[in-house]
Amino acid sequence: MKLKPRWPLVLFALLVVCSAQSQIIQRPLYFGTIITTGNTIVSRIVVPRSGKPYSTHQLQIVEDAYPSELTLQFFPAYTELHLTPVVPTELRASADSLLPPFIVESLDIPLSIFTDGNGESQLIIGATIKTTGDGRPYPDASYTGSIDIVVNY
Amino acid sequence: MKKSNQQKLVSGIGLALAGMTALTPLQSMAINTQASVKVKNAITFAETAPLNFGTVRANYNVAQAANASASAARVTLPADDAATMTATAGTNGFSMNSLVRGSSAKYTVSGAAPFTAVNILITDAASGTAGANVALTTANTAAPGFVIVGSSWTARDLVLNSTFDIGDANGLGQITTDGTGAASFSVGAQLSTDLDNTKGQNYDQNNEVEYTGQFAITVSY
Repeated sequence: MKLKPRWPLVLFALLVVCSAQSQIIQRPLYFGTIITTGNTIVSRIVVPRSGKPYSTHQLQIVEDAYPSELTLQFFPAYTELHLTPVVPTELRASADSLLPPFIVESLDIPLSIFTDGNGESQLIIGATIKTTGDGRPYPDASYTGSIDIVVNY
Repeated sequence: MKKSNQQKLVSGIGLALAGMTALTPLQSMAINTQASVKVKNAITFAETAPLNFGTVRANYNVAQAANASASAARVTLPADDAATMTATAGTNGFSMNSLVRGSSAKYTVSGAAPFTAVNILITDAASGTAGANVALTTANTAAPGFVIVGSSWTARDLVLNSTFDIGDANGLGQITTDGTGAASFSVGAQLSTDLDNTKGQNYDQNNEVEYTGQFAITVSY
């Protein structure tokens, strides 16, 4: 008789634990090794979800550049996940705020994706970055940042 | 009693599922990925041969020293090593002739952006000024020296075999890299007898003396 009231709580807790979603980054987003021949006009690097990356104006890609690949796990099975990019955001060389950042202008992602029977889904993320175009040079360095996407379901 | 317990268990599960169902439409979370780009603007630039005007015979007429700048004699070293050096006669006893041909300076560019114009800037190393004359001197500072005429620089694309000038409004010349981001070019210029109107000595007429000077050459986008 004393155990009776606990059953609903135990079951609810189990269900909540099982629904803890996670992601695995198979490959981060890389805009390549690039050359900046100036920063007097806004120039872009475009890395699409599929197809060849390309650059405009005063930027040139000399090596690599590829989209990101993520695996989403522990979502409800056969569920539509609505994706909303969080942009703009920035890629920065360091804590030195005087150096110009690269601005993540837009993401190339689907509006929504569906999970499989295991609650998993693969997501490829492309994106476009642009220069400030304000004349400040970009010193040699790696410029890094995090790109966020809100998932609603 | 047994039936009553079953009813409570079922209703408990129902309550839990109802709680989950009620939460489901509101689920929202953020996922993220790392992004990066690597900027590599540095260009590998190397000199493979220095500028050498060769051996010349020269005369600075001390008696006409006041006219040295106006009377200077010159020899021109082309950027193309296959071309002949030419001489511009001086006046008032100032003269210079090439005895042994010199050779152009040679440079290589690599690691640059492919199919991209690279600026070439030559400055006098002492003043840092584009288009300025470069003095060639020897240990005997009382004797006259020579001058590389700052407005006379020429360059030659060693891949396309085409000559181009260095010294536009910004003191620049341009060369375009190939598909691997490489380029090579040579540089020539005109050498003048000393333009200093105050020298009290002539060039050493009995001994060969070496004159040296420095210019700076820079490549950039």
